[in-house]
Amino acid sequence: VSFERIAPALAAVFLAAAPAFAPADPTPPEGASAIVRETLDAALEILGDEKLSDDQKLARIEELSYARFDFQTISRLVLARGWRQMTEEQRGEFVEEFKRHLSVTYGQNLLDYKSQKIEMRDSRLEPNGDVTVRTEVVGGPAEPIRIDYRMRGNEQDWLVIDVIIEGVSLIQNFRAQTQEILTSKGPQGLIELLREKNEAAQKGG
Amino acid sequence: MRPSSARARALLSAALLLGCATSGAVAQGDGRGRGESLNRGVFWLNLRVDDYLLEPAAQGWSFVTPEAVRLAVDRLFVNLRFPIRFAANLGQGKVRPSASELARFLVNSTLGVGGLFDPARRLGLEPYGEDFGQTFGWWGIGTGPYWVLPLIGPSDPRDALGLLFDTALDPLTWLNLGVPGIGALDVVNSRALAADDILRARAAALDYYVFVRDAYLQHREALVRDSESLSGEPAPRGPADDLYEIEDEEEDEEEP
Repeated sequence: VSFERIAPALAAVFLAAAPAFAPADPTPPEGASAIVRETLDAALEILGDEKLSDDQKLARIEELSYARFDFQTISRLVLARGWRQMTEEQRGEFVEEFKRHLSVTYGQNLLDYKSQKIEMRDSRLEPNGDVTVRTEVVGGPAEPIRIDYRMRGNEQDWLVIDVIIEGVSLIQNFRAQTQEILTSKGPQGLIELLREKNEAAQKGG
Repeated sequence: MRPSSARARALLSAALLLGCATSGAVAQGDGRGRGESLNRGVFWLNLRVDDYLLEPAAQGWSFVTPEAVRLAVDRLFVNLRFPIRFAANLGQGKVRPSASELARFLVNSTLGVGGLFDPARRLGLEPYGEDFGQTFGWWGIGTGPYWVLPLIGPSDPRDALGLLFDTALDPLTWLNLGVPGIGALDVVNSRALAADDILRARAAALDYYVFVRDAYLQHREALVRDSESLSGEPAPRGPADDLYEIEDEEEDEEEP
């Protein structure tokens, strides 16, 4: 155990009575954070609307998130090297199926989130210009859930390129899964598997 | 069942299934190779135990109890395990968090009827879930290879060692000797609370084994990172930056 490791601990012991450390960097782009806030507010409004059926809610949430997520970039990042192994047509298919996958599997989860509130925490400018917007879902029956959104800006907008739930990045997680499937089944096999999963989920849901 | 922090439990209990667990290096490729077929075998076995024993038991338990009761029971067990969090926080030099945990334990054990309720939170006493796997991570000990332990689930050498320390400090370990079945209640209750998440995770995963492995490794690493950030570093870092680089022509995937 190095001294560098222990020094902060010792400091913490001596400073125990002092207020907690202030956040380091207060002003990364507020634009990305505002966009996330806006989108989440809109989503909560849809979920809290008692006049809508669950299906209607899901349809509206889908519409909202399709406009806000950059599925092309998400797919490229998930597939990494696999993207290059795919033909233009396979890429298009993958993007569509992956989009549908996130919608049928994760959309359903949202219906639980009626009464919760979302608190914004400090966002962070990443070295490559992305912004990580950090949020916390509070007021549920259990502990708060931390959800971070990695945002990438283009000329006119900020789009979501990753969602990180309690430290688990969606991109990293799906990359780990798809890499193994790409190795064993190839690009077409991966797309087929995704399609089967989606069809099963849609039937089941 | 691993005495994880309440937060860990709340969140991806799905991914951490079969023993909300503990760990480290986010690795593309960790856990494959030599150990993988053994890991997959044990994982498969754990799933069978879940299918035939744990899940039905949890369903039965859910049938006879309202969710409020299950949540209260969960709080009770979390409260009981206060010694683990207290010691694991101290082990990282986190005096204030451990003091907060101590105060929570005193308040919730009395006013909160043994921990069934959480009045401490209303008094502004926040929980600081820590376990010894995290403490060892904070000390700079690496995770080693990914392991799936029989009946316990996802782990690794560091977290397995941490689990030994947790278990030694866990009042449940001692209670179980006198009152059998208490540990089983905790496991079944936790499984019941995580039921929806687990169902969805299994539906969403393309390869459930890899899904769990990766979620476990990422989540544990994030917990250790969070611990570090408390000790004075800036806000906790997210996943590695190269995760977000679009690859062009060159192969530049790198080992961490």
